[in-house]
Amino acid sequence: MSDIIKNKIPRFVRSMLLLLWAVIQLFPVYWLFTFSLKSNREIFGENVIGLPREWLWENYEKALTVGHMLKYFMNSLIIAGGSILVTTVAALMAAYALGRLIWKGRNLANALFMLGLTIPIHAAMLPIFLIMKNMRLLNTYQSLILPYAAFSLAMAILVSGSFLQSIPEELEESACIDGCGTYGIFFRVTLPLMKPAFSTVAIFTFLNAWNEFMFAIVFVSDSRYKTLPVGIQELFGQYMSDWGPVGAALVIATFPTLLLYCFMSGKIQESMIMGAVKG
Amino acid sequence: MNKVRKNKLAVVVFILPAAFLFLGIIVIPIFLSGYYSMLDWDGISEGMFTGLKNYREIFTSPSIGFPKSVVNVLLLAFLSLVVQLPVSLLLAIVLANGVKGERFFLSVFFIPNLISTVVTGQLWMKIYNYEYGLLNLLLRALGLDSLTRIWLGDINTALGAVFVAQLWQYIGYNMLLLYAGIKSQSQDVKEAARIDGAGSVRMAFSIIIPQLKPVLEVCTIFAVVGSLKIFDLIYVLTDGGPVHASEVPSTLMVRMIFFRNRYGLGSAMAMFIIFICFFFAVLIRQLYRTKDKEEKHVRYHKK
Amino acid sequence: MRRKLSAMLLAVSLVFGCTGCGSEPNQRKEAEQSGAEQDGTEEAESQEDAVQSASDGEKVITMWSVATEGSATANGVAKAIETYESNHPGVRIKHETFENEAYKTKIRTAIAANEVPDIFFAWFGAWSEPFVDAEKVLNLDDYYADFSEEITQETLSYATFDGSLYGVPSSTPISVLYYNKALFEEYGVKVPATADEFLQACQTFTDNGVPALSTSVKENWVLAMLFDALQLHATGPEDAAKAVTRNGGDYNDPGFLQAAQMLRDLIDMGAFIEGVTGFSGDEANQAFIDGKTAMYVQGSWLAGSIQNGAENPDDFDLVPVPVLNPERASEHDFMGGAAEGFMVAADVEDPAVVANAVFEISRSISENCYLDGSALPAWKVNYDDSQVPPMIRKLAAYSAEATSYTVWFNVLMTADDTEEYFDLTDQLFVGNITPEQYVESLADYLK
Repeated sequence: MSDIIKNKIPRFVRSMLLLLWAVIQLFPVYWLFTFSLKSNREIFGENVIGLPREWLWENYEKALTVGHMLKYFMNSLIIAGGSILVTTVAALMAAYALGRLIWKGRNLANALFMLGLTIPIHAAMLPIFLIMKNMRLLNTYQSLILPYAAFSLAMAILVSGSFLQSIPEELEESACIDGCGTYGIFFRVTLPLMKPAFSTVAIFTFLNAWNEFMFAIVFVSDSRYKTLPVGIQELFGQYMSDWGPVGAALVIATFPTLLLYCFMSGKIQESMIMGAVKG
Repeated sequence: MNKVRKNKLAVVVFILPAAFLFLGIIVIPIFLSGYYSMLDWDGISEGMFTGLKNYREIFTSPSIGFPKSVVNVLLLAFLSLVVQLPVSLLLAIVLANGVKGERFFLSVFFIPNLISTVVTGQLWMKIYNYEYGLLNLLLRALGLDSLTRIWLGDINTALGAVFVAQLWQYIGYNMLLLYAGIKSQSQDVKEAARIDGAGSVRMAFSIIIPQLKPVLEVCTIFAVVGSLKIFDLIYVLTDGGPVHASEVPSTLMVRMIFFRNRYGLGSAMAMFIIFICFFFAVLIRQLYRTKDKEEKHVRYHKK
Repeated sequence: MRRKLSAMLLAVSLVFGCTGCGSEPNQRKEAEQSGAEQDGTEEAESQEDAVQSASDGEKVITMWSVATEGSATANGVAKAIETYESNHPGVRIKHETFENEAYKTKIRTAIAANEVPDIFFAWFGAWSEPFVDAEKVLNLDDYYADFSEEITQETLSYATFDGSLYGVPSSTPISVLYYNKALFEEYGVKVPATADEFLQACQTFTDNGVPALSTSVKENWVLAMLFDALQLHATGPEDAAKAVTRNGGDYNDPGFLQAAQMLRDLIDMGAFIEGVTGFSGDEANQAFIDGKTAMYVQGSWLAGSIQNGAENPDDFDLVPVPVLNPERASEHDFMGGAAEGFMVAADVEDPAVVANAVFEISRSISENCYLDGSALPAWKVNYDDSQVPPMIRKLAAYSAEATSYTVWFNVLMTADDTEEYFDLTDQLFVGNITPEQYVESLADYLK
């Protein structure tokens, strides 16, 4: 496929196509930014894509003061960070046990972990709520960190497992000959090679945790622990909504992630290339 | 080596954190849902045990329309497979081949995933709006007025409109996974092939893609299971409408559990969703694995 | 069955208790720490007991509502809580707000798990009936006497289940026909008082290329604002209520057919602005407020949005929805009523204090929101209301002359019936079924 593009169509057409696709993907960022500075009238119909006619910076003021965005931002950060930590630790270890260690029931366990991909969160709501209640975890950071980690786990195990497959077993064997035990091999040889998997899992876990909304609203009833998506929803009205401040809150929630990602994507690439060279 | 690999204690230690999370947050809710699905229960008062009656009802009641919602998601899953995956793969290969601005494109193509569904939902509503929506504005500008539609409110286009939005969002997701997979492949084989004069198409099909199998497997599972479970975007864009045209099992399930006070019936739908997702996940896995084995087998014999 | 369920849950928690003990103390500590970090003076509060006494003897009452910062009523509710707290030193209200739709999920889950706050927002009628039946809600009969002068029993009818009071409303919304005066003048259209005039007005606007009506079919309740009112004004309050509540009435009634036929005629005429099948509620509101459509049937809450959001609020006015059958209904029969408000959890520690609080707070909300133009009052107006914005005043005047209130059908009907009603209305709207088929199908379902 790439041949057709590369040889038969001149190179710049390929670049143009990529650029076009990039514009399509970048459009929402521009749109969200302008939308955060508009009134409902402009957002709904009068001026959907243009620059705001009146730059309503007070939307931001409202989102920050009335909407308490900074506080929710911190909570989201703590919860996303906690979820990433729990998920990556659990997933990398489990992937190793499932992919490299030899034990009875390994295939069954492998299949069972995929159950985690299947469960619709709304059906799990009441059961998890009851479990959290019995563990006295409602209204804590853990009440969200644990479910987010558990729901990301299947994805994380799949991704790290597939990376593990691409790491040659010979490396471990030679480490074994050098006298490393199971733990030594894992921590000194395999884990460093799984860096790319770590980054990928971290990104996806982060996104799950950062944008998740239903668990966040049901398991937390105390403003001290509310997350960004819940806080943003609080700017909606009962019968109708003023969308400008909602847009501003969404910018506050989204743009730092965008910047972080742009910054991180370089790191990810580096770590991948490092992994590739060593492998 | 075998001894190291068969370390029982290590197995327990490595698997324990995951197993603990998994048991508490995934397995128990599935069992409870299974139990609820056999109750005639409103979610609040006492339930009545009715066995498999709920299951019978969701498949036979014409007014609930569950079978149609299943057909809808199967269609979405199929479309994801034949459209979303190939496009993601193409992008990943092109980018990994080294393009000017590779890093820029890589970041930009992933952006839709960084933005919450609240935003993407609003955005697509603005695109599909009949009067001032970008799509219709474009069509009118091109003189194709006859093609303008109420995209989200038309029985014939609602599901397709939602699919396009989903496609736009998830291409970047799969692309990133595949890109990372390609990047971590060993360069030596590729160099050797290039010296042998292999073109990019041959390179893609005979070197990159075969090595990419584990990642492709993951992407296939995500694409299919993700479509089968799709909820957020549909809820925001159409809520299953108009007249159930874009209804999927999870929108029906949520309505049953939280809005129609039929927790038991909704749980039966949940169990079905779990079953069908699990079935496809295992099936895809099996398909990839058997192919894998066959190939290894063949390779072995050639040696 | 209950016992089996709890046994199972017990087993679950046992499994958890065991596997969890290693990590739990740690997590607890973490929670306390983070709590302390965020809120220096306040101790991390225990989640089990909603009402509890802190060390200084302060009583805390927890309260959940949908009066989010983005809601028109947010200020009225916040002020009401302040007033209550200053009148009752030593009692603190811990108020948390949640977005409307998500709240429905949250409160249902919380009630099922017995984790409700002391005071919680609820939709009365069929929506909260299961909660009352399951004895999760406090009976307020004993506490009503102190307030009976200020809020009538009729107003409380939707909060009354089997003759007992379980909730306290703060507002009495009604639905009316909003219209754009400027457009009516421009095209020389008479403000409709009868069904014929209404159809005529729609026809004139449509002929001139101006969409007559806005609505949202996707958010069914918006279309129901119009359709409920048409049905009420074709059948009268008693027959309508009986038919939709499976209470001895029959939905297979010429009046319902007349209303369904009228909706069909409006659609066929092209009276609705193009795109309503895909509109969200906000899009429907905005189309009207921006002057794109001439008329719109909505609840009284729209008046506040017109006041704040329209370029020229004076361009807008409102009248009762026209009557389809003057023999069965009059324009003084309104859709609406005190259909939402607050309830008290059955297991509160100090029922007298909390019940008193729910009445006092609702009373203040009623006054505050009326004065700032965000809602119609449910409680008697025994204060100066001359500063209330004109549209809300007009609504209040209509409301005062009302001969009957019929609450929205989706509150009257059970949740399951409501979904069927919405479903069939959708099908009627897109033309899948004829008005006759619509009436027959719903009648069959409600039998």
